[in-house]
Amino acid sequence: MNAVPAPRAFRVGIGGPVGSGKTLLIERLVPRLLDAGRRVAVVTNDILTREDEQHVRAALGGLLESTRIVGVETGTCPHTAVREDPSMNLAVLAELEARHPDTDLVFLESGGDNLTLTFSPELVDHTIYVIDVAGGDKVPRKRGQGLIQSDLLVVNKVDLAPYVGADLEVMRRDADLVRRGRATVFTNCRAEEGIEPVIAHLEAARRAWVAGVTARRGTDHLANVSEDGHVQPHVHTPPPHVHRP
Amino acid sequence: MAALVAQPSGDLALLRLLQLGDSGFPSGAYTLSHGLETLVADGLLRGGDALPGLIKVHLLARFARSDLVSLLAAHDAAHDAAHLADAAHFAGSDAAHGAARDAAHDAARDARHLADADRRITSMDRRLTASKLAADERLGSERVGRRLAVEVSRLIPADRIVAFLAAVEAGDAPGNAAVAFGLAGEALGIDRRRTALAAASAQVMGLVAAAVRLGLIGHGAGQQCIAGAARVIVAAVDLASSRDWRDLRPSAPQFDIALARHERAPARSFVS
Repeated sequence: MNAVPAPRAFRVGIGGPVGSGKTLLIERLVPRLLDAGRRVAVVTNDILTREDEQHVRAALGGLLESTRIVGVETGTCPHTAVREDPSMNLAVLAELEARHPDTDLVFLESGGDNLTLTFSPELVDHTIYVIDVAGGDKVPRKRGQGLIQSDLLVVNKVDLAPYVGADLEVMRRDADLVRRGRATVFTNCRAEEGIEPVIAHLEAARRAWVAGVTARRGTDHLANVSEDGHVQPHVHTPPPHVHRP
Repeated sequence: MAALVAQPSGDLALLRLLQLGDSGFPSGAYTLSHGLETLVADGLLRGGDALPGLIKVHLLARFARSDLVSLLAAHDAAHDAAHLADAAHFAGSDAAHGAARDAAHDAARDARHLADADRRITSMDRRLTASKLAADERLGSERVGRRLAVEVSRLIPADRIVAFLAAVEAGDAPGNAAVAFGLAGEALGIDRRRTALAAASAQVMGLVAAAVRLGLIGHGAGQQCIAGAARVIVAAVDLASSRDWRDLRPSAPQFDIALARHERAPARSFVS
């Protein structure tokens, strides 16, 4: 993925409401990343069960080693688990990266939420927020912090728009407005449409992250990686172009 | 570094105690139910009436006979080592000013004593893991302990905490939460009894929070439960104070069975 070795895997948080398509997005991304030679791992945060972990295992079982897919129980607090107290995710990441130190990229899928979920910048380097059109074209206007602040917004299930009266142009306009130009991609993950722009976004984001880490390594005051494997401070990757379906 | 906070004023010590004992301290402890999730899922716990009794059993039959004993011992070991380091520092100063001592010899001896303290902490950590029958209980305790130690080391990189983390990293120490809590309390200048009281109180608050999230009780009843457990918390610390870390004897089969069943539970929201 890069010529310069990174200190650890690039960590990508994926949030979004229950049923929006977070898990399926991961299942679509991972094979493509593997084909491109990336070494990937997946951490799922389930609200009540290990449903997502088992789904990912079933979908990617032939592609990813089982030890590269880990489920985390959140004590029924999915927001807390990736924001205020991400300890269990950090612990799992430490275990996972110790076992697979060659990992290039880790997806951390949050438990389903209500548009307000943000990730701790001490947990992930980059965030993707997934919504679907079936929730109505008003969703971007609701301005949840997760939706606004994420590095990439994925609007999924575009094929359902005609059936629920959702106007994709309205969603695009509102997303651009509330996200102040941050990237948005429209997808139909089930039909594998719109996935390539997400891959291109991730590639660009990781390159920027590696370059930022490498540059800071050359400066005395930011040269260290903290004990739990975090580069301080958080790297803000510039948003690439807005992609259209 | 530990010497810098060994004797904080009363107000500072209280504030550090409140921070360490706060349920918001990022250790991941909120993901543990200590078997409560399975007891509820199995229908063995249908309402809040039995919760005070369960808390009493958990504290007196389990926690005070294992984790809390190790916590006190870890605090003691770190405290003794900190005093030794202080003494070595002053002895070194004396030697530098011409006192009639073999400073190099004393430094080597003190280094051996500090290494002994670290080995003792590792040993009590291993024994604590050996006292935990269920895999989920071991996993939860170790993950929370490691994170607690990391976060405290970021606040104050005390020698024993750093050595503990190194032992965990090397695979020599499991990294149990109780041991980390004892080392953290000492590093922050909190005395051993208050550190133990904070840890036992955190156990109660964690169990009650899990009960609320599992729908067993409401928020008001939860606070009543916590208030009602005060004497049990004190009794647990008293009991643990009379025990030896080499002789851990937790015994509450209903919890052990629930924790073991949790490993294969079809629906889980807690680590334990």
